[in-house]
Amino acid sequence: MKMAGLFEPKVDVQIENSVVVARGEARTLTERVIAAGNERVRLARTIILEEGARVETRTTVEATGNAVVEITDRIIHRGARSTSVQIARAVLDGFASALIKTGAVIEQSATDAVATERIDALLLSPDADARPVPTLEVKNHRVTCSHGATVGHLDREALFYLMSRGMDEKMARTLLVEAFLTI
Amino acid sequence: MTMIADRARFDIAATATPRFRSAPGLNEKLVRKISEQKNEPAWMLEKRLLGLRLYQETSLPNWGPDLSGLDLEGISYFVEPNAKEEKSWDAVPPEIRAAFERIGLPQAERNIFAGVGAQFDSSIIYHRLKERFRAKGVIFENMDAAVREYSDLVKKYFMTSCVPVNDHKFAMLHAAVWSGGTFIYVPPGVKVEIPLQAYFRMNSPHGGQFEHTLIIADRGSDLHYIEGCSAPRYASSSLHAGCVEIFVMEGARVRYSSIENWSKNTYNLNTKRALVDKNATIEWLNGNLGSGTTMLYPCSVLRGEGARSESLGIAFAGPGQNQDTGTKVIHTAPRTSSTTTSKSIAVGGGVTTYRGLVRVGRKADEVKATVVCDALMLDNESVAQTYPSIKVENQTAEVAHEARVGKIGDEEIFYLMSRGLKEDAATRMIVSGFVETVTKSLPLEYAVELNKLIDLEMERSVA
Repeated sequence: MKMAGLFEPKVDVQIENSVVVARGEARTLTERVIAAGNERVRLARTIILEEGARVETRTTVEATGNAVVEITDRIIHRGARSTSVQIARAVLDGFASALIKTGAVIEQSATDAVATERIDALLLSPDADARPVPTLEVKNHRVTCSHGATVGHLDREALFYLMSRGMDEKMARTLLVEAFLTI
Repeated sequence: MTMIADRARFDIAATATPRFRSAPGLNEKLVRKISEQKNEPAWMLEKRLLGLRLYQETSLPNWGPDLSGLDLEGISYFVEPNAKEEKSWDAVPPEIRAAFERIGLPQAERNIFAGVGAQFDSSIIYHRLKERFRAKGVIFENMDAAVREYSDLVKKYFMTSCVPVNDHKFAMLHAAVWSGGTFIYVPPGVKVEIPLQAYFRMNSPHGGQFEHTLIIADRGSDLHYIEGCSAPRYASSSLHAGCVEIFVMEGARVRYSSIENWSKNTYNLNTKRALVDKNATIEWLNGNLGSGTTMLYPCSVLRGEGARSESLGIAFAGPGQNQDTGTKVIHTAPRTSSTTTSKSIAVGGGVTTYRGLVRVGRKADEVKATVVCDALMLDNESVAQTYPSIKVENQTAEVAHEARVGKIGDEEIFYLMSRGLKEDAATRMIVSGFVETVTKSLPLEYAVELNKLIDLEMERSVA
């Protein structure tokens, strides 16, 4: 059962991060979110990129039960030639729900910035739901920005292939989910 | 064919004096007067009053572009021009005819279109329906007359299940003061081969446009409807809060094309929605060029199994413009599919925002939905934003979204310049190619006009 939103529900885990990636630096931020039961997890990160900086975020979400996961990332490109890559993969089972919002803000000073966002969600049960929201706010035209999002289910053909090689269904599913979560 | 080289022709007001223009501001007395003037049945007056009450109780949206410049109390909500509805073009009064001829309407009307309704301020002046369609039972009437003549049919569909009166603040306003528009009913199995179109214009200082279009395509029918509009420019803001409701019944297909080219100080807060039944299809084709601020989100509700939605849109934002658009598709039935393509161009400080939604409900098995939204920015003053929202509640769905934002590649420009084109001509050619997916789906006249309009906007915006 999901909360209707009449009151602000208790958040079990809240992580708010603010990172500045300095000139010329490169950082990779990996986050693995696992939520189950009635947990509510909120992750909000703001990353500021200076000139020539690069950040790559790799976020995986595994949620089941009645868990609710909310991720809102904002990467602000301040400096020229800054690069951001945001990759998020979520697997949702049971009655879990995930809102994954990635954002890239390109300010006027960020000439030749490159920003890519990709959110993929896998739904394993009829009651799970996913909300991928990749956003872009671009104020400089000399940039390369793109984003993509998909929501889907396990590929039946791949499942059949593995099972025809002797694996039982449970193991085949586990293997495919693990592959999906490997970024 | 008209080659539009000078936008000033859109911005000069015709000198016709309206027969009746209401005092600025909105109150119950005015709403009753509008209903009385139009000789409406009691149920319509009730709907208007409900809309007014809700409108007064509701606040402005707290998201989206800045609406603080919209002077809701200073607008005159009902303007009737100095003419009765005419069946023949020649009988329309000269000043009004001149206004339309300046836009190029006569040429557009002469060729392949079946019937033309031209709206001047708040009334349909001119409306003509080709005989053979009438014989087939196709109703193509102005909305005011339809409320009287087809009262039961209209009552069932007008702001009931598609865009209800309480949908949002500007739908409530629309319910209270709507005037004019088009009513189309296509009987079962009838295919209207020639596109039906209506061309309307806003021409009064502080005048608002609140036309209502209601299209009912009965089972198995087929219809293409086109709207294109233009308005002159004034120092004070004007408002367009129209509404389009489309019912696409089982097996039917409706293609709705519209080019919105309101003048630069208009607030275009339009509502468009289609309810699509089993195995039926809705095709939206939108070109948003003019208006200072636009909030427009055509919505398809795919409520019958196998229903389909296809949406192609172009948004162009030049200096001082803010185009906030996006397509909404709501899949509630199984095996429905949708494709959305949105192309936006921002230049000279214009702002384009894509705010779309794809929603797949719990019972909607095996849904396929794709969204492509690309934004082209032609200089550093422009802003492009995309906020696509996807909500999937069914595990068998396949939903994909992609977007690209950027400028025209230097290599492409270089290639064209090395073939002899000047830089601005090369830019315009590439922009033309960028929007080709949409323009090639429009009838030729509109495609040409759209391309010329984009050209013109770019000429004025690119230093």
